[in-house]
Formats: sequence, C-alpha cells, structure tokens
Amino acid sequence: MQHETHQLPVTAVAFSGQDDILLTGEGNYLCAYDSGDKKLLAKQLTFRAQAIHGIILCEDSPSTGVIWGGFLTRRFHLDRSGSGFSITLGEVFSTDDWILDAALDPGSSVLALLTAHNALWISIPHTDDDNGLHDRLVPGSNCILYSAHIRWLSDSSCLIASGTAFGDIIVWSTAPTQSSGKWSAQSQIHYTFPAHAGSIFGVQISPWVHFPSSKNKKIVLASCSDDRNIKLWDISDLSAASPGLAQVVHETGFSTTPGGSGNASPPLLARTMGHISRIWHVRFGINGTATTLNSLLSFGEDASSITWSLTAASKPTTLPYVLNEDHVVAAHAGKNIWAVDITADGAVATGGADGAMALSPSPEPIRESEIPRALLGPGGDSFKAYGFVGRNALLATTEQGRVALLDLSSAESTASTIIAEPLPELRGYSVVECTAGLAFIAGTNGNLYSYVHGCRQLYKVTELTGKAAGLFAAHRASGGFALLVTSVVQHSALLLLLPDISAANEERLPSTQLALALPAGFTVTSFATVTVKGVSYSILGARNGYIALFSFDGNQSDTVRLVLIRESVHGKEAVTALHCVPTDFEDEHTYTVSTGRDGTLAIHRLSIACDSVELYLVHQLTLPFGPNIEAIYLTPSGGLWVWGFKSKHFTVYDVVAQREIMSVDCGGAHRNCAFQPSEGGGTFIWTKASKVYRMTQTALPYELLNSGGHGREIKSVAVTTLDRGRQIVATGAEDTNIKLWETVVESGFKCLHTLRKHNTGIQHLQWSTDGTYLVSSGGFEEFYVWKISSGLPYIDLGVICESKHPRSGSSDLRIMGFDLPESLAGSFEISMAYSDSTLKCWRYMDKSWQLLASADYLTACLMDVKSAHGDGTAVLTTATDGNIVRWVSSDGQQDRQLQWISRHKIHQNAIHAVTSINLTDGSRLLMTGGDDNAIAFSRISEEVKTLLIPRAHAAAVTGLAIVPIDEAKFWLVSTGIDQRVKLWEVKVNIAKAGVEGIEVKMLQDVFTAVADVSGLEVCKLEGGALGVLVCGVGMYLWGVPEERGIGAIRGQFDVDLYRPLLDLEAPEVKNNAAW
Amino acid sequence: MGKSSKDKRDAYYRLAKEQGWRARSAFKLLQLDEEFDLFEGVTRVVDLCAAPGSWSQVLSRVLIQGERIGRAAWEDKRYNEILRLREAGEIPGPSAEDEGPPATEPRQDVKIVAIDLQPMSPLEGITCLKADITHPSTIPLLLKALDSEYDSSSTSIEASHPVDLVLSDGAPDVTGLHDLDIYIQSQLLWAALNLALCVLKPGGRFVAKIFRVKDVDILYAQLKVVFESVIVSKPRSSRASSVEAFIVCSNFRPPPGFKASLDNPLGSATKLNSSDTAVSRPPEPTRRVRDDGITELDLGLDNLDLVQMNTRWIAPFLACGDLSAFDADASHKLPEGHVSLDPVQPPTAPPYRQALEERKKQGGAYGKTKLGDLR
Ligand SMILES: C[S@@+](CC[C@H](N)C(=O)[O-])C[C@H]1O[C@@H](n2cnc3c(N)ncnc32)[C@H](O)[C@@H]1O
Repeated sequence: MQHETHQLPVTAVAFSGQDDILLTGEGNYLCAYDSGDKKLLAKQLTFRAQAIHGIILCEDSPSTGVIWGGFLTRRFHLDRSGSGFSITLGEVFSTDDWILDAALDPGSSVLALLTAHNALWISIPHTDDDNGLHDRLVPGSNCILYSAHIRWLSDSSCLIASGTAFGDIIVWSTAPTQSSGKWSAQSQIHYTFPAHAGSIFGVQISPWVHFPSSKNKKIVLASCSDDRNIKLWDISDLSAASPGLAQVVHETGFSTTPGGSGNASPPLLARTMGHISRIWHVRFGINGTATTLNSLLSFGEDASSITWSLTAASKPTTLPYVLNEDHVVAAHAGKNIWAVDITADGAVATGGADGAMALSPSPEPIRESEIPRALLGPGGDSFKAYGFVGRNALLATTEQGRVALLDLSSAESTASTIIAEPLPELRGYSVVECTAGLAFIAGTNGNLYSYVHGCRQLYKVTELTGKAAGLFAAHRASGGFALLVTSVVQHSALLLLLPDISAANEERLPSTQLALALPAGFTVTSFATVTVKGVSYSILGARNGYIALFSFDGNQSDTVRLVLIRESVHGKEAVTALHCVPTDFEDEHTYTVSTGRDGTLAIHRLSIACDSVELYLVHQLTLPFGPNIEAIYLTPSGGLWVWGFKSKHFTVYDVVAQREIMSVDCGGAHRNCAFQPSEGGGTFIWTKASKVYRMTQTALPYELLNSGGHGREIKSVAVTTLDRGRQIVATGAEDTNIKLWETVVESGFKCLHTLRKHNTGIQHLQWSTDGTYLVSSGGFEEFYVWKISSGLPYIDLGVICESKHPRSGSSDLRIMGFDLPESLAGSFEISMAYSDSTLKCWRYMDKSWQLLASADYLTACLMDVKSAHGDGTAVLTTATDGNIVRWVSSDGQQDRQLQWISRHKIHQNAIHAVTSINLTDGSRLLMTGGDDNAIAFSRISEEVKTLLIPRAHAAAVTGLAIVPIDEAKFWLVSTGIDQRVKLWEVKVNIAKAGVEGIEVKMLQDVFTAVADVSGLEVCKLEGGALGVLVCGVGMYLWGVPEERGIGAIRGQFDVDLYRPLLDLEAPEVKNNAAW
Repeated sequence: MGKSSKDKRDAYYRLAKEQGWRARSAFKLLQLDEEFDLFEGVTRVVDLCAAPGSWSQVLSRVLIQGERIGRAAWEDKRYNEILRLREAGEIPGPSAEDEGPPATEPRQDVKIVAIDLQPMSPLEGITCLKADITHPSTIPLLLKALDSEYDSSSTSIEASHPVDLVLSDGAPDVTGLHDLDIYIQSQLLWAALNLALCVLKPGGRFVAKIFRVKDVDILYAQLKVVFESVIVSKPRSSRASSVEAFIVCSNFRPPPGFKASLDNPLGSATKLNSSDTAVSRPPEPTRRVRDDGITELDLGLDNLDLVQMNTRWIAPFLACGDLSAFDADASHKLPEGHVSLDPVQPPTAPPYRQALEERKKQGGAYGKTKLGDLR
C-alpha cells in the first residue's frame, strides 16, 4: 500500500535559513514547505515505523541537517535543482535508548545525541578517509530524563542540561576527543539541583549572551515543568565541577538533598507562571548578530505559545529579572503544540497536535491607543456615535451635537475636521449609519442628514415625523442606496431610496419615500435589499430572531408588501446582519446570509416563482466564537468575514478560510464600536468607560499551513458512498466536533466545515446512502441529523442540523453505534445501541421521531448495531462482552416487539470493529475485530459459524473495511492500536459448509503513524483508484494497490517484508555483560 | 461531572467506595486473581507503584486477614437474573454466587512491601516505602525491607529470602505524545522487571500493567525469555476503551548463570537474549475447531518471532472477570436509595498545586490575571 497524503501531529519543525524553507516532521515523514507560498515542496519517508521528534540544520550549510525520533537518527540533504526539490537521506543509525536532543558541533561533522538515561552518543559520518563513528561515549545513569539540551560551547566541548522526571536538573559538560583513532569523552558535573516541583519537560541553554542591565555576558538556563513555572538560571559559572557522572547517579532522579554531593543551585534570575496546563518547552529568542537575549518563548498543552520579554526588576527584594508576557498566539486547535523553531529575526513556527503549522512573523506588538476627545473641538466634548465612511475615515457625532471627521491614517497622531458645529437636534442623542462614502445621521427632532464623504459635506435628506430609533443603509444592485428608518414609537418604518451621490448641488438630497408596516413586536436589527426578476425586495431582521421580506416596485409608495415572515431564524436572538447575493437577470433564486446573537451564520435560499416566494434554510452552523456575532463582510479576495465578541475579546473570523483574522481584548461586548476591515485585519474602534480606543492590525498575526485538523483524536469516520459523485469524508472526534473534508491528494485534506453542536466526544457517524444526510451520535444521548447540500455561494457546501433526537441531552447514556438502513429519501428506521445495554429502534421522518421498539440485551455496553437483511433477523449487535447478538422484531398491533434470539461469544472482550458483506446464497459474512487482537469471520444463516484469527494484530483491532474484488474474493483491510495496517485476501467458496470455504491470507502489513487508531474507511482517490483512510490521532490515506501489483507476493510468505523491521526498529540484540 | 453521575458512569468507582477500597484498581487485581489464582500459596509479595494502596489493601485482606473475596463483590446481579428470566420465565431467586460470610484463614509469615513515589497512608502489616522504582538506590531499600538482616553495605543485590509474587500497577502521567508515553510506560515495566529479577524466587510470578500499543510485541518477546508463560490479560474492570492491560508472567526461570545487575539493568539498552532460534519459514496455515465450535485459524504468523529473531512475539490474550462482572464501559442504573459516598482517599496533590494557589491569590478565577504579572 502506498502513502498518498496525511494530516498528522507535527512533532518537529525547523527553519532552513536557505530559501525560506520550513521543514516539519509529520509522523515518519520529513516534509519541506515553501514558507512564502505555503506549498509543499517535498515529502520523504524517513524511518520505517518511527515518528520524527527533532530536526536540526547545520549552521554553516543550511541544506543539510539531522533528524531523530525514538532511538533513531539520520542525516539528510535538501536538493534544489531548478524547479525541483528533493530530500536525500543518509544512513539510519540506532542508539539504544530514546533520543531527547541532538546537536551538531560548529564544524557540522560531530553529532552529539543525548538519550533519556543521560547517555551521550557521538555520530560521525564516514568519509573516504575516516571510518566515522556511532557509539556511546558517556554511559548513562538509571534515572529517567524528560528533557535535555545540548549546546556546543566550542569546537570540542558541549554543555548539557538534563531535566529529570522528578524535578531535578543536572548541568554537565563533556569533551569528546579522539586520540590515536579512539574516541573518548571526559565529563564534569557543574550543577545538580532541585529546580521544580514536577517533571522537567523542557530545558534550554543559551550561548554566551548579553543581558539587560548587565555588563557581562552570561549563559542562561531556562526550564519549564509540570508545576507550570518557567525559570531562568544563571549558569555562567562553570568552575564548580565534580568529575564523572557515575557517583551522582545515586543522588539524582529523586529527592535530591540540597547540599549533598551535588553542587548548590545556580542563581535564579527570574521566574514566572504561564499557560493553563503543562508547559512542554522553552526556547530563547536571540537576536542573531547582537547576541542579546531579548525574549523567551514557551509553549505547551494549552496549544498556545507565549513570548516573554526580559527586563531588570525594579524592586530590589525580588529576583533580579522579570519575565513579561508580551503576547500569546493561539493558532492551533485543541490541545498541544509539540514543536517550535525560531529564527534569528524572531519569526516563529509552531507545529501542533492538530496537524497544522503556524508561522508568525517577528512579533510587533500592536497596542491599543486612545483617540483624544480634544479632536472633537473645544468645550470638553465627547463621542456619541461613530462609523467608518472610508478607509481610515471615521465620522463621529458628539455629545454636544457636532459632526466630526477623524483621519486615522497615522497610527500616532489623529487629525480631525469638524463637519458641523453643534446642531441642536443632535445634542445628547444621535444615530449614525455609515457605508462606504456615505453616512446618515438623525437626532431628536426628525431631521435626517446625509454626510457625503466625496465632498466632506452634510446635507439634509428629509424631515421625519419623529425621533429616529435606527438607521439601516444598504446598496441597491440597481444603483443608489436604500435607507430604512425605524422610529421609537410606531410599528412602521420608512424606506428611503436614494440615487448614488458623490456631490450634490442642492441643499437637500432627492429621495423616494415608502412606508413599511412592521409586524407586531418586530424591532428591526438588520436590513438588506435584493432585486430578483426586476422586483425589489427588502429583508429585515429582528431582535427576536425573525426575518421579514417585503417587496416593492420602487416608485409608488403604496406598493410595499410583506411577502414572507419567518420566525426563529436565529433562535430567539437578534438577527444582527443580513446580506443578499446579487442576482443576474434570469435568476429565479438567490441566497441570503445572516448572522445572529445565537452564535450562528445562516444561509437561506430565496426562491421566487410565479408569485410564490419561499425561503429555505440551507446552511446554519455555530461559529467558533460568539455568541454575539455582529456583522458580515465579503472580502475582495472571496473571503467571508464575520465579527463579534467572545467573552472579553472582539474577534474577526474568516468563514471560508476557517481561521481567526484578528482578536482584540476590549473588555467585553460593546454597543458602541466600529470596525473597518482591510487586508490582514483592519481598524477596530471601541468605547470603554466613556473613552474611545483604536487598534489597527495590518498583517495577520500568523499564517497557517495544513490547518483544519481536529484538536483531539478522531473517534469515528464515515465516507459518502463510493458510487456517488462527490466524495465527502466526515470525521468526529473527542474534541466534540464533526468535520467535513474533501480529500485532494495533491494538497492534502481540505476541511470544508466544522460542525460544533455535540457537547461530548463523537461516538459514531454515518451517511445516508445518497450522501445528503449525515447522522451523528455521542454521549448524553446526543443524536443529530444533519442535512448537506452543495452549490452554495461562498461556502459551497451547506450544512444544517435538521433535527435532534428528542432525548438528546436527557441522560448520561452514550449512543455507541447506530445503523440507518436504506429507505425512502429523508425517512429512516434507525437502530441505536446504548451504553446501558439497550437497543432502540426509531423512525425518523420529516423532523419527527417515533419510537418503534426498545429492548434490553444484558448488562454489557453495546458497541454497534447492523441492520440485517433476509435472514429473518432484524439487527445484529456487538458488545463489550465479545458477543454478537441476533435480534428479531415482530410487528404487533400497537408497537413493534424487539427481542434477541441468540448470542455468540466470538471475542473475549469488546468488539471494536464490524463490517459485513452479503454472500450470494443469502447468508451473510460478518467480520469483527476485537480488543483481544483477533479478527473473526462469522457466517450467519440459520446458524452462526466462526473462523477466528487470534493474533491478527499485536493489540486491539479497531478498524475493518472491505475492498470488493469479485464474487468469490475480496480484500479486508484491518488496523489497530498496534499502528499496523494489514491487507488480507479473503476467498469465499459458498458451496462449502459454514466457514470451511473461507480462506484468509495476509498480503501486506505496514506501519501507520496514526496513533490510537479508531477506524478506517475505503474511499475513492482522484482517478478512480481506491484508498484506505485510517483515522485516530490524525488521518492517513493509503492507495490500495491494483490486484495485479499484489499478485507478486500473494500466496507466498515474504520474509523480506519483515527484514527492514530487523534493521531499523528493533535495537540490536546485545549480550548482557552480566550473563 | 457530579459525584453521582460518576457513580453511574463507572460501577467500579461506586463499588470501591462502598467496599472501602482506596481505588477502583482493587477490582483489577481481584479479577486477575480470580482467573490466575495469583495468591495460591503466596506469602511474600512486593507491590510496586502501589499508591494510593488498593492493591495493598487486597493483599492485606487476603494474605494477612485471610479473607476470601469472591466474585460476589463485583457481580452485576442483574446479569444472571435476566438470563434466568429469559430461560424459563422463572421468578428470580437470589444469585447463586451469593456466598455466606467469607472464611478467614490468616497465613503464616506474610511479608508485603509496597513502594510508590507518592506517600501512602499506612496499612497494618505492610511495609510502605516512598521511592522511585526506576532508581537503582531502590533495590537495596527493597532488599532491606524484605530482610532486616540485609547488609546494605554489601554489593549483593539478590534477596536471601526471595518473594513469590511481584506486582506493579505503575503508570506515568501521560503527555499525549503517544510514542513518548509508550516509551515511558515501557521504562516503568523494565524497572519493575529489574526489581523482580532481584527478589523473585524461581517459579515465582510477575504481574504488571502494560500498554497494549505499538511495539508491545517487543516487550512480550523479552518477558518470554525469563518466564515460562506470558499471558496478557484484561480484567472486566479495566475499560475496553483504554490501552491498559496486565501481563501475567508465570514460572520465573532465570537463564542459567543469570545474575541481576545494577550497572547493567535490563532496559531498552540491555536486552535478554534467548538461545538462538533458526530462521525458519512459517508452516502452512492450520485450522483447529475449538470446543466452543469456533474454528481457529493459525496463519503460522506466530512463528514470525522466529523470523524476527525473538524481537517480536504476540502474547496470548485472555479477558478475565466473569461475564457477570460489572461492565466498566456500561452505564448503570444506581441501586435504589443510592447515596453517593466520598472517595476513601482524597487524591494526592499535583505538582502544580502551588501554581493554582498562587494564581488564586493573584485574583480570582483561573486565567483572569495576566500571567506575566506574577512573580
Ligand atoms: C494506577 S496507580 C497505582 C494504583 C494502585 N495499584 C492501587 O491499587 O491503589 C499508579 C502509581 O504509579 C506510581 N508511579 C509512577 N511512576 C513511578 C515510579 N517511577 N516509581 C514509583 N511509583 C511510580 C504513581 O505514583 C501512582 O501512584
């Protein structure tokens, strides 16, 4: 089987100084990306069955380097020839222990490796006149280390920090030397000290560096731990030294006694606490040329990386230095950043458990600044309402009734122009609505003004009958603007139609005015217009979650008609923004996009045919922030941005790219704020405690590569039926999310949507046969029916949760598995397997649910259920007790009776995987994979006969899938927690009784870098070949070989299949000296 | 999760509290014993990674107090009841498994030593040591605890009075980086085995927690060198969704001339080497019809260990605990009048406790303060 593409935790990253290449370790693949255009340049298989845990590059020749992982290490070379790019690999070397760190000497020939038992290995490649070396020079101790760092201080000696599992740090040095052809190393211990209250997860030694307010250069040690502390130690003084490691071994590891034979602690320079969970590592940011230590970077389990700056402490009583939290990047989903690299100019790359890499340019902290009130004119005036009328042009009304234009183009000094001196009707009350180049202003007495930015002038539009409550402006496709004016008192609103205005000669702008009767209780919160087949429509959103559609011809005031009203569009929450997709003349339908304070983005299809107007919901998903979503913006490059508030932050999010654009800590949701989007972010203005602040972001805080992965392990995977057009993969994970993917081998997995509705980890997912419904189950009896459609504007695939099972959330039972047998479109008979041993059967149709039958098995948790055909049974279930159970159902008058008739103990323990095929004689072959390492083939007719392979895998079998070949033969693909994927040939001779005619042969056995495998599915690759998708901690797609290709090894056992295992994975078998 | 809902989610959690066990793990040992008769003729035991001490409690009650703890302690009575009802529509009687008061026969010369990193509340008759099992200095500590005459200045690291059974339930704090966690767990297993090699008498048994994951077959192959029988077993009280299982190694038979070594302990670096086995082609697949009617297919893959020179071998798997035992994965209805009890032992303080406290002092809820403000 052949590797096609993957989405795996990124466990190593490194910048290659050359050509802006970013190298990553993804499982056992070394990948090279162009950090400019984010394209994958090359991927190279490195170790046969071991993930990469570290990458370093030679300082003097950045196209060569070293990778390591587990016990293994290997050198590599990057070759760029013209447009091609490739990675060539050196020999694989194995140490005898887990490698924690590796470092090349300044000459890039001697590689020092440190293992988890504090042993130092030296590896030197052989050349024409040197045999090279790969050996352990410093023997280890018996205490286990969680972290280590090697720093070469000169050509011949390295300084090493070793962090133990129990909070101690050992600082020692060693000098590997060669004399008369033999290598040896003298080592000395400088410090052994209790550093933290928990395991030391990260240590880092700086080179000699300059330090704030200190004349001398220092060597600093940074450490981080389970105890959530980050500490900085001054280890410049290396004069204290006790020889050899051997005797301290007994002292270290656990309960070091301070003042024992180890040395005293080095001076503690600074300490801080950071991150909400474990801190995995710390790195120094060292300015390349100046060799000053200017920052520290920490990252960890909370999937964020924090940049700390170092300053001298002001208070003399505390530690000499203070670490200040400069900024936090939270670019990864879920848990864990595993790897980081940092360039000399401060750019940072992080690799996450979600499979993504985040690239942050050198951080330039953007700070908020206050917009001084003095700009509003004399007399201590203050801001009332404001909005953007153009890029960097903020129009504001004031408390005293002024209208001012603020020029925000310079970040430091803001300039202003007073457009209008105090107007009495704007004093103390004004509403402002801004669109590009135009603003509308109304006050207490009914005068409606328009500000035209083109001529920096204020015009009067009309006199309203009372005080305006709200103004809502929208562009009209036919040209000009529509302005909806709502009033405080009446159940009616005024619709004004205005031509395009750039400059007007008259005092008063021309407008058409139409009256619009609002339904009772309809408080307008959003507004949009659209024209379909020459008829204009206004769409209004309300505070109570309603939307209403009005049509008008455009000229006479008597023809505004309410054509449609729809409740609960955003639950009972306000519809905050509306946008209509402009139509071409022939179009009979269009789409409306809306956001609400229910935290969702919704898309409706508006279809208009012969007088009947219909609005169908085609998409509605909860956004990853909220619930106060406030606005929609279409970017010039096809992005769909929404923004709003999430606890104390203002957040801008791109729905198409599924990423955060900008986030501002503004203290909470604000009624008074304005945002002007621009490339890379925008300018956010907000009022807080009667002061107005601004924050401008001009570049994205980070770029993402390979984003979209789950934050936790995948628990279930389902692929739409192979013979249908477009193939969509659905995955459900422990992070409670469901994701929809398209697999494009070239560019990897593309996440189309993230469905956030479950409150528990996903247990099971299944598609309807036609691929229009996806059904999901989880804990708390959560069970949802999703409807999927395609061809939508902006987002292509539309997803709505059509219904949830009436008992969703009502108990703490888990729905472990279910089956949706084929039925009429949109109607299903769903069998559900529960964690309390009950089986229930429901009919679902048109959002209504009917319980057909319910019955108990025994006391074991049911694992899955499969509908049966033809053999008289209704369904088959599997359970944690290793049984497959047959159930029958009988239709009574009132209700259906469900009862199990026989159970068959196939496995010793839980059955984790099940799949089946129907044989031509009407019997059924059920394949099960168990916790007991076994795969079973059970032929089910009147009786059940089983063929069992007890040691099919070395650990639990968790995934099975079928590759059909012909009537008498198929392939079975199996996978499990042992991280192997096996391909089996199964021949079935139905003429023979029971399982006598079933022959099974193993064809292939390959490693998968996906840990905690939970399932696998067969899918179609581009070009029609079949693939196998393995899911767990990440995803991995294999191409299934053609039957011809596999013919070569079929029928014979191939020892060579296993030969590489001997060479690479198993450390050599050594004779124990003590024997 | 509320206390009561955890009781429902996990029957063994509730039972442990009701029966006075310090941890639900007690049932894992009890169910392993039910299958393997671990305590038969046993008087001297070492319990590694023992805190909070439920395994030691089991040892104390079985060996010192001479209690017999039967299946009734963890039986889901509904199981047999439902089956009986199905069969004849009979009125359910009391569970056949219900035993009278357990017979007590305290054993003579019982010696139990428990070791853990974490402090453990004392248990009568059990020597508790606070030590790291991966650390070599623990060996003399253990030998001293087993034999008061042991001369700690001697270089001998072999027990003069070896023990019958070595248990280890050690588990590291997992990081989520799967292969690292697997490695660390294997190191704990090696450490436990090294201690066992020093103190176990020939023919003795070794039972240890193992993660059934990638490369577990390498560990099995190594254990098989020093024990006649190696079986991996999963008690019903261990969740099917967890990779945890227990390796039950019987009949310790150190290779001739074997001496446990402090300087060269077994571990990833030093491997046991068995007599060379020729690389042979695996035999043809064979079929065998078992008593229960299931046809077992031996693909000859078992002999792969020959091909792989004993570096990989898949130990036979055996689930233990009767099917009538509570299912650790199932949701349960709470018995009528159920009162949720407090755990027998409060959890030990994590290393970040101080961090939590400091943060609280700095102002309210977790994460409210800018972290950099702390010093
Ligand atoms: C699952 S608990 C054991 C539960 C115990 N068998 C009982 O029944 O109460 C795992 C224990 O392993 C201990 N442990 C982990 N690493 C250790 C080490 N290196 N040395 C000693 N104990 C260790 C932990 O402190 C923890 O108490």
